[in-house]
Amino acid sequence: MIENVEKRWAIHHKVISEDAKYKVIALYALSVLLAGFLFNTPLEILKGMGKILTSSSILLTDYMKIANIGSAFFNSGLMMLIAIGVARKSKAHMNGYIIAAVFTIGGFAMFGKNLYNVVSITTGVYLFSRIQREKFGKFILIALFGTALGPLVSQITYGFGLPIWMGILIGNAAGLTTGILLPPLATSFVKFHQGFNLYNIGFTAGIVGTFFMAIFRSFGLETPSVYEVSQGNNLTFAILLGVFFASMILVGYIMNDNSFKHLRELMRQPGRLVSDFVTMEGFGVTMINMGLLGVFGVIYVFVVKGQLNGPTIGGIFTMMGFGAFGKHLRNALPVMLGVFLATQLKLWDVNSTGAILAALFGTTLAPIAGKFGWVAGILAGFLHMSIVMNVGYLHGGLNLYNNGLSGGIVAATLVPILDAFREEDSFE
Amino acid sequence: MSKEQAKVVYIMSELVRVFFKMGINNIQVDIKNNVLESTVELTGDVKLIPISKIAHLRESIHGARQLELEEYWKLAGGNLHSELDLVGALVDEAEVEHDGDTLRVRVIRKA
Repeated sequence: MIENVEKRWAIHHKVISEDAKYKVIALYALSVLLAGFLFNTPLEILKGMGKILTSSSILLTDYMKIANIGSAFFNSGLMMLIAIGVARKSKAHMNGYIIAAVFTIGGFAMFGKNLYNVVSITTGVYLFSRIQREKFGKFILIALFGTALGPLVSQITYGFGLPIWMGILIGNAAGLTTGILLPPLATSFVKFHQGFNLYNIGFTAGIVGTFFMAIFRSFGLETPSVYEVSQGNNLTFAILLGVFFASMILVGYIMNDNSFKHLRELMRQPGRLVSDFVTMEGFGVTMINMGLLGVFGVIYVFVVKGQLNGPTIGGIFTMMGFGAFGKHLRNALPVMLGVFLATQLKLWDVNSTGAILAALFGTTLAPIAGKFGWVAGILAGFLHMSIVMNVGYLHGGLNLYNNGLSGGIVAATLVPILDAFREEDSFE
Repeated sequence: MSKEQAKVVYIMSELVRVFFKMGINNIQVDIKNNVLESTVELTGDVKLIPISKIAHLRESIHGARQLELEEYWKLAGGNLHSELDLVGALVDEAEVEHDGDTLRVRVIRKA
């Protein structure tokens, strides 16, 4: 009997149209943009956007601190809507990977990405697709995630003291070059960590950023150490994020035939690249999973008595977004626990923004827990905490996905060792 | 070898890996490659293979091409871990045929 498996999937799962998926995600992006007006007037947001667009944006620059809260939310929502527009234009499916990319961009648009510093990189990826005579859709993920190197463009433009025209010229040339370099590198580097580091472009961008920074340093150019983070808004942000994530769970529940079915199956997935939960288990249950991860992210920040600010909200958004592309509570928790344990034994305060970011973004290693179990996940998180605090110097804060670089190193080192000692399972 | 042909090699490699993992050691591989599409077909002797493993394969393989995931093509067949979902994203059609003695899996990737 010949069987087309795609048709059989549709019998057991509710199929949601691409239009509906795009609308739901776009509504969430729009709600983030509009949330900005709860905090500041349109004029204040406009002025704040001016500060954001002319900031060097290297790690760790909280747009809520250097501009204002309203502008940070506005910038985040705007960047998400643009990302959705680019995905739509390139006829991409609104599946797990695009959802992850959209919310990652939204998260980092709280502390590093803006309209000025992402355009040249995305254009560079587009140029690469033209040079290769291939559809841009094949490189859409690299174009979206590749904006991790936005601070490279901003730092050259505003941070090295060049005449502004020269800064714009060289900064955007560097962005274009980066965009052209990323696709072949990303395709190659994914083999390094065997798909156990979900932020593959983060690792790739880290290597590219390291090259750029090494060249800058060889000309006597250095990036400053930046630590601009806001604090004191925990209750307001917790309510806002609580409503945001609770609505995701509710919307997902409704779109999943008023049920939590397939959630158990989703949480049994190891989560290794490529694990598109929308294709595997459906859009509705994926939304539920994303909402749960978002809620847990907020709870974690409260439990360790940390601060909700641009970077930590960015971390929560990214973790939640990857709830559509590899992460769930079952594989993310062990890694976060590993980071938490590391902070109890090592130098760093558990409630510092850096340590919280390591816990939230460290879930890039969730597939290790998903594949090799809790103990391996805790070990991965424990090691990640040390590595991530040491690799930032290499790229001088030019790569926003610092945890992706660290995750790649941890996964590439740990996985072959774990593989050597594991018992083979039945089918995997 | 073109990049397209390289992708076909990786897809074939992943399918061979899956057959080996299922315990199928007698495998025939048939590949057709032209400018319009590539077809990879594997046929294996499954007389001694538990039916549950074949059912599992049926559940796991799909052909829902997703251009956006092309970036990850080098993961297919390249390591110890399953990438059947990636194969599904790299091909336009997937068919599984089982007649008791032989198992045939055919995937088609359009240019």
